[in-house]
Amino acid sequence: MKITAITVWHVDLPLAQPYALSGGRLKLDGLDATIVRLDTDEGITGWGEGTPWGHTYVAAHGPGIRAGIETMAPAILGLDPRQVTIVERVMDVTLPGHLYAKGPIDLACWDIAGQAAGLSIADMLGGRYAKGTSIASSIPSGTPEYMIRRVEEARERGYLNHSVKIGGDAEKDIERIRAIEAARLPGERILYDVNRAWTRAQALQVMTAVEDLGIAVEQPGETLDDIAAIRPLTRLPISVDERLETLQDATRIAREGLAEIFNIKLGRVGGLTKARRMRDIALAHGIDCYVMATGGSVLADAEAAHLAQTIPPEHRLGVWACQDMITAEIAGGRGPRNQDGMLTVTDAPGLGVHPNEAALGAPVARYAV
Amino acid sequence: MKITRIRLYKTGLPYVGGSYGWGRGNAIEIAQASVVVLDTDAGLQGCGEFTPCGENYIEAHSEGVEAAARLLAPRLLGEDPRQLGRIEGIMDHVIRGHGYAKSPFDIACWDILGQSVDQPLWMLLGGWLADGAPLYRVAPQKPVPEMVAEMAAHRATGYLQFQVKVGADWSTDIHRIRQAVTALAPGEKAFADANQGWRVDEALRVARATRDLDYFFEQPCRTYEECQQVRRRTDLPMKLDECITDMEAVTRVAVERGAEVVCLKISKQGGLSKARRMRDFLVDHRIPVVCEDTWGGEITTAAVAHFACSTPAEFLVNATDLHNYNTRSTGTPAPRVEGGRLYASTAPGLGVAPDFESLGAPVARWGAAA
Repeated sequence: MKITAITVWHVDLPLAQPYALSGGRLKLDGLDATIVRLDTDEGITGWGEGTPWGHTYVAAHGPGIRAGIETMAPAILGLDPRQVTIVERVMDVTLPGHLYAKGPIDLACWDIAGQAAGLSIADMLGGRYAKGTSIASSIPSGTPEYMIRRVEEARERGYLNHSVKIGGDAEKDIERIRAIEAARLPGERILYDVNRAWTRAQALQVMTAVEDLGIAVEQPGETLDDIAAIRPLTRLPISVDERLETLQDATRIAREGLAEIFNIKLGRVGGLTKARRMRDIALAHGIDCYVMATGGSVLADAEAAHLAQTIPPEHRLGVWACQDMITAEIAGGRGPRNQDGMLTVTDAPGLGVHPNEAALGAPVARYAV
Repeated sequence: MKITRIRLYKTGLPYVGGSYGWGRGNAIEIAQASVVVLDTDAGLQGCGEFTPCGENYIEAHSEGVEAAARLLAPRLLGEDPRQLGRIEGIMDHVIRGHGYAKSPFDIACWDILGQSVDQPLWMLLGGWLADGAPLYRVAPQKPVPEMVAEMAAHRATGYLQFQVKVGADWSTDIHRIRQAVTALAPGEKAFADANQGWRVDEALRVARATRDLDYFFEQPCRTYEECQQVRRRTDLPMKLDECITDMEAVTRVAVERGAEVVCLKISKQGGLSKARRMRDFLVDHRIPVVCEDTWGGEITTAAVAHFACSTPAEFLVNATDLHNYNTRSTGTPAPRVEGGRLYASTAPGLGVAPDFESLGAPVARWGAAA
């Protein structure tokens, strides 16, 4: 089987509500999505998506995905999309780095491979646990009252899992954490996501002040060196998100005990082919995982849900449904959707959801053999 | 002063020797240059260039410049180009990473700052600390006798330092290194650059087979960790390049004494502002540097010349006259090359103007109509 064409769409996904995180360093009102379709000489078509969470969340931006595909396309055409590791290597040789630009191609290959085999991507990745994955809400920074209100709204949608964005002002963060923890219901899981905003001193100040609450904190500093400096000085569990980019990062975190939790973001790490190896490192070291899109439509959420559902429930902490935060719908309501706070993938072959091409507008690029 | 117009040009630079082979199975024939030209309401114009050493040399491809420019340029219009730290902060806030794409913008702002104060960049970067930067010349991968002949031809034009491209087949590389190093005249230096091409075991075998020779072992393997694994078992002095991309890597080298020489490439470090900080830090830690860029024409070489000539001579290993590797140009005039040395211009700013004839029509423009 050979890839005969790559078609690329640029779709703007407006956010239902403007979004602030990382101490106000990042503010978003919409997302720049790249949707990719791969055609093959056997008539199977695969779809992928790459949607960065704004242009400054990590080193990834929308035009950069399309530029990366432009550079890689001649090398990708003609490859067998089922041989995902060969596609991965060709992409890495053609375009070093720029992992985020490779994710959509990688996903479309997995979609084709699954359809060709008659298996869902989750089954291709090792097997699907029956139960779906709890969706973490995404609660933007604000006053404690505002944030508690947003948690309550998420609860009304069935979410029992929340990623609460803090950072920027240590004193306010302590106040936010205490207020939100006081309003937390039994059984509810909350991850406090700093998105790199703390200095080492701020991290220690906040984490020491709330240590009695036993909360988990995500990306409490800019770099892995920052986290390595904080780790021995706090007893709170730490999750690494933005700085988990490569397999070497995963190995360092696992071997040096820098964190107890991985947040594997598919758009950042370069797609399922690389992410599944991170999952394996996590499980080999007893590390728990969130698996999420960096953002996007149901296609990106479905990709994360497939990988998440291959992780044993005791190590699986949650997914995200960015689809619930955007006002655009590109797949006519198909694919994994929020059901009682869960995203669940089925045994439908491949990704299990394709967009309506009419909802995407005109393609911005097409590469063909 | 405000930036009123931003134009982006692209042009292909053919390699002067046909095909330039490096690392494990790579070759360049034509490199794609991207040139940024900034205009201001004060009538000053600045330029900067980024040219990758082929699209897959490191995390930097030419399409990425235009993609990043689409997000950067609208945010830079109306900003004061002389406020370099503010410009750097804006660019890092608009998109993270992608330093190579920001580098030509940063250089163009330096050019304008220099012109606005009527000083060459070397003056703003610390002063005339190296009276001409010693140049090295690359001998790309070719059959060994041809490579040795090429080195002799370069020697005749004044080069005293040579870099041999290795990193493909390790056993041939041993022969290549031996031939190159034993052909050196007194006072000459050699570097064997694998450009990340060897596995650790291959690098160790090459190092062991050539340990009687006096030369630098350059970026033998892909990552910093792999290079350190080699380093623990060889006494050849090591130069690191591709794996040193940011200040984190630079501080690591200084603290762990991870290399004898660090190669700073302006675009790889994310622009002159960042490269300058890394250089000063390394010099403070008594680690010598190479000042250069990935590839490029006259605009790149002009920036390299200022960067190199403002580096203390005893810590400046060498620089590259990149414009002499191409048959086409990006700017004019080229910095002076004489007796195997590169001299920065004494004209204000970079001292080079875009060669609009060679650059052709802009591929994108923002701001006031041309």
